[in-house]
Amino acid sequence: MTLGERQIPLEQIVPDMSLSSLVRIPTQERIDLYARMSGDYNPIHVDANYARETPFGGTIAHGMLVLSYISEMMLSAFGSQWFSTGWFSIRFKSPAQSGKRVKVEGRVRSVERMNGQLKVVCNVACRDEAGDSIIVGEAGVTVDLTATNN
Amino acid sequence: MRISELKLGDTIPASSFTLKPDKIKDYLEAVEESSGYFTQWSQGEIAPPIACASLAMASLFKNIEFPEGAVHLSQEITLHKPVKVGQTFFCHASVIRNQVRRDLRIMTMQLEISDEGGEEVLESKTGFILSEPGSKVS
Repeated sequence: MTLGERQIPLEQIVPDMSLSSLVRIPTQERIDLYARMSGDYNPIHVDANYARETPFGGTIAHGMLVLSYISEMMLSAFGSQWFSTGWFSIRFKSPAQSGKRVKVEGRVRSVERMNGQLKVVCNVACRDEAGDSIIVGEAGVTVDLTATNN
Repeated sequence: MRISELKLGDTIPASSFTLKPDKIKDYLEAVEESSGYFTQWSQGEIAPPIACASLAMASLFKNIEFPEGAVHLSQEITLHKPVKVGQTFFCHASVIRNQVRRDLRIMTMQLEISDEGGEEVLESKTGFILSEPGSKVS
């Protein structure tokens, strides 16, 4: 069973449950859009000729672009309370190459129940096509079971 | 200002930014957002928190020169309040870690982002590794 798309009532969350995974592809067009949004035109992200000469061999996605995938996964799993109680703590392990698939995964590590609230901590990761880590870390949220989620 | 000139405890000049609709539209398309929470990006609609964090970093770091090869090592973000399209935010940042090991400088910057009412909406800690040739071991 997975958490996400509200398949499971939040009060039934237990450790080891998986979050619904995502697959994203940071194409060069999307990386360029992110550069325009953020103002980060570091050539490693937007200049193929420059990036080809680096150890990465090609352009890579912005770290925050890839991190946004984790935010979406958590939002989908836990609802709008993510906006006011969500948190992450992650490390960037390797870059997300332009045009290569990224798989975003999470699994509930702990659930603390107290006074009508659930404090949930998840292990989260983004992996490349070979299964190697791009991002690893944890994310959490406090869900008030008495509030109406939208 | 070069980032290597900053010392532990230094602050970066405060800045502000507005979550404009065109920025949110670009963000949503760039990240292939499909949660269903951001179907509109007009004034007053709820906005993606990572877009806010990214723009906050951009506004704070626009006057900071990062050396070639700087690596974004780690990121912590804590969300305190939903953010909306059209809101203006105020950002403060300080250096909370600054260590040199061999030819590398490891820095962490803490960012605090508040809304127009002075309420904190988001805080973040961003870790970097910077090349620092010729540095001594600390």
